[in-house]
Amino acid sequence: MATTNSLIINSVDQASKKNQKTLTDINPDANTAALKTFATKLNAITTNSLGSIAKVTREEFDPSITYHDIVWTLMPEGTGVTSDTSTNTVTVTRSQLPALSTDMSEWAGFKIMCDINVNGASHLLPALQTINTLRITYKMDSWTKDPSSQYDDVFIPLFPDFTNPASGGTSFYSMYIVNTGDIYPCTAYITLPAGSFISGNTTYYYNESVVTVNFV
Amino acid sequence: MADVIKTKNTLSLEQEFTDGDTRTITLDNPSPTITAAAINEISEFNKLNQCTKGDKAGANFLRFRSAKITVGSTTYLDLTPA
Repeated sequence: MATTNSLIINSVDQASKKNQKTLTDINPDANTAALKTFATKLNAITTNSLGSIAKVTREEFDPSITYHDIVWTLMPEGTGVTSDTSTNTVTVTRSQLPALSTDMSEWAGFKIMCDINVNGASHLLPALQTINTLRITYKMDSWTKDPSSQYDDVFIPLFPDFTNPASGGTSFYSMYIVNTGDIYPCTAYITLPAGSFISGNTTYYYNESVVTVNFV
Repeated sequence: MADVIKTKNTLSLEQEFTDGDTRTITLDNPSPTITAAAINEISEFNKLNQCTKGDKAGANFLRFRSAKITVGSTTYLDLTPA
């Protein structure tokens, strides 16, 4: 369901917005008093001097709308990459990845494509055509060489595949991975937020969907 | 000019929901006196009041599965020619 609920906790410095914090995934059924206490308790374990709740925003969904589940097509290429479409998971075995070469003559990676199925008919998501990066959230903090650095969210470019005419040119996206020695064991997520697209005279809605990428 | 070192500490609270879903709350500048008991107390409060939710309807908050404090520093090198 395309429901967005966020809780914004303001700092005492309203002008600069310094220390403003937005929490997402807030339960729309939680009462305001409980949210206020929750925010206060979180505030107490930081040194942010966060103030009270500024607002709770809720984007209610229309129950008359049908949201479709995304169907991912995952296509591993090269060595060291496998996929499981039943669990939307890609596994990258780091030790098997090709080494970085200057001409990129050898590489491994995977292509992704997603669609929805409506009454037996497949509809590719043209929404992907407007996305040239997908948000990758790393669960662990050991992605970089510097283990003290933490990147909760990084953006990695996914390259549209213009070589496959059957895909319409831009329905496939490719991720290239080479073994530079930088990749530590971690789990990444490719998240496609809930959204909609228009095909013909029909608007199709789809749920948020996630592909898990395990670097082992 | 000289190199500039900036530090940023974060607290990551990994939430676990009944559907197995997890969501992480990341807070900047964790208190230096933070305790596991304080985090568990917030976890119990959230479980009682269900302030946060997972992906699916009816997926209730269970607990904070982990709490991680990350201490990070970034060095900006002074590139001014000598």
